[in-house]
Amino acid sequence: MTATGAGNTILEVRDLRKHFGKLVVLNGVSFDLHEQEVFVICGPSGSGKSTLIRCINGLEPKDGGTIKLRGTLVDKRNLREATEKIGMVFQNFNLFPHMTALENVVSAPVHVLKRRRAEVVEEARALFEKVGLSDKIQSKPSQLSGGQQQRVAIIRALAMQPDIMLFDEPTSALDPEMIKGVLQVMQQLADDGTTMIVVTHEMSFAREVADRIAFFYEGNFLEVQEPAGFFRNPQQPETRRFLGELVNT
Amino acid sequence: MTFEWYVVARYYPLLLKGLLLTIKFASISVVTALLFGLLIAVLQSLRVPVLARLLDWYVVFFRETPLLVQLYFIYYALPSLGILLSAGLSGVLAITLNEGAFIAEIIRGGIQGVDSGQPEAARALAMTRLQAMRLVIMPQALRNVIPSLVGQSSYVLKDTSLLSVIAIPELLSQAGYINDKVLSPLTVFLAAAALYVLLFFILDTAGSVTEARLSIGEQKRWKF
Amino acid sequence: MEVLATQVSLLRVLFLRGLVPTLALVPIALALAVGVGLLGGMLRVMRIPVVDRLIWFYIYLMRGIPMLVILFLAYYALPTGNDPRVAATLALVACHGAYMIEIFRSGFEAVTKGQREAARALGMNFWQRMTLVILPQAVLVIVPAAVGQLIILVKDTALTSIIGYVEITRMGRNLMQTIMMPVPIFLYIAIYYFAVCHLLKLIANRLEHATRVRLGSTERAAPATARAAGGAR
Repeated sequence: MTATGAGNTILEVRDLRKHFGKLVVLNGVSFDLHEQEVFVICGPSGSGKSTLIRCINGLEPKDGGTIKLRGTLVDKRNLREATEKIGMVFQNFNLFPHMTALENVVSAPVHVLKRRRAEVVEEARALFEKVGLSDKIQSKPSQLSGGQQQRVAIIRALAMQPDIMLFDEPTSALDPEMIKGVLQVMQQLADDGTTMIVVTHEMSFAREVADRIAFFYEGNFLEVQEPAGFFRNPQQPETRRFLGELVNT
Repeated sequence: MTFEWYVVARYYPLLLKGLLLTIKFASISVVTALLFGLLIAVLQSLRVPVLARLLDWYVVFFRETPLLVQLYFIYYALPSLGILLSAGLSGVLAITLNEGAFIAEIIRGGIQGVDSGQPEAARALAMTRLQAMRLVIMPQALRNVIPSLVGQSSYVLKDTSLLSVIAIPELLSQAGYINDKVLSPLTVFLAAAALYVLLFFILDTAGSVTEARLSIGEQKRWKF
Repeated sequence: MEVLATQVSLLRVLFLRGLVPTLALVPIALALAVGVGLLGGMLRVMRIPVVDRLIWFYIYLMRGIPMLVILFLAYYALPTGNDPRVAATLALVACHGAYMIEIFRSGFEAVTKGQREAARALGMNFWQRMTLVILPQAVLVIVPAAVGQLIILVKDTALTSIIGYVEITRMGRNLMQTIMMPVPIFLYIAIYYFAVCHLLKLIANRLEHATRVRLGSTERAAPATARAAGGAR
């Protein structure tokens, strides 16, 4: 378990709104994220959880509200720069198929952050070792299993040394045997003090690793609690129904 | 060099005459090319022993040589071999053979695109190969390729412009003729171009409508 | 044998004097057309409102106006001093460049959305996304289609003979005035074009096969190529 959210506020989201045509997807969402906090978001499909984190790193343009990273307002002009500080792990990994695993991890720090290649490669090797993929450094993504690809995707984001890491259902596209490996890596990150927002259905992970769990329902947070309280004593009927269905599956 | 409206005003009847002839040649050629291409595609698909091989070569050769050279051959070379055709017939023949090869390829692609279970089912129902072709495979194949075929018609239209080199007074030829008299190339060729684009617009719109009608019920295309 | 001798000298005239200009035109026109395609494709992908419409309109015109008319316009109407070489190059580039724009655009769009998003999430700007992630993958789709377009370009060079560019077809027509042997003349010319185009076709087939192997499950790449290349035969 990581330290409870006693750190500074690193991300401040206020009144975030987003709609697709007439459909309201984000309904004035507000929350704070603290340093070294693991913030898990769960909820029924289509409730808007993915859209929420995609708005945070600018993949979806928002229709209203403010996002502040370390006190600085994130708007269209400094968005690209802000994405350097926000790491993202996708459900479908999205590794670059024409690059080796190493090249995938090293490309952005070298070209975007303009860092020296030798340095970055050394750091990358250490990251590969950390996730147990040292022997796959020269492999192409097509030669890796789903779980391996996702782990590479995670260290690709980490190599940018971001302030926060976003995870958009990182294990949903994986076969059951591989999920554990990826979750272990994520737990390791949490133990190391990484600030994380994780959208997931993996409730065991949430219970073990999260500092706070949020239930997202129809465009907004319905309930936010620490894991113990969340699972033992969910306040809202929708939360209870959701947890009940999860138990049954 | 400027666009001289008076030329258009004075000579537009000639341009329209050329336009009409272009439309006439294009229409005839489209029909002949379609029928010819269809015939070829069916014969190729039936794998008639010697013929299919010959047709394969014909298609390859006519797709990979320029229409102009084919036209010259038919108009200038065939007479030496005893085959004397009028300019109009030469033109239509050249376009038919040329576009026919492309159309044959398109239709053959459509035939191969039909699910392989279909001919098997037809065979199981004791149909002859010809019946299977006619009743089961061709209807499906053609439905698949109609958009492409409509697209080809605009190529036939553009091909008719080559007929000007064998002295057929279609649109481009008329434009050249007017230019010889008034020396206003920008005007006449822009006017001709505009008329061609107009015809293309009609064909292209018809094509889009057809394609839209046919894809009702199919998946949406992905957004960028 | 006299017949053989005449054939040989016929071939000599046709090819020695006609081959170089014919072949010379192609690489230049191709390079420029590819340049137009790359630029135009990138512009279209950026989706700038007015620019995109203009490019679309330009492509529409090139699709609708016959190549011969474009050649005449380039020859007579442009201040190129009625030089067939310049006019021919210009016309070929204008027309095939338009098709190249669509080929490049299809290639870019064939790269999945997730790739672009991953590149953006890593903080890459437009240029970095293009060069590091999108182009390397788009090339696999673009090259086979571009070779197909090249085949059409080679065939179109025959049309340049009509505005006086001295290439093999023109030589053939000139020869016909002096030697009344149209059958072998045009047959050889046809064989020349066939040889070049067929070679290119074999290369294109190889490339297309290699693409399908490399991309594997990216079925969407195939329709993109077909759509772009089919628009230009």
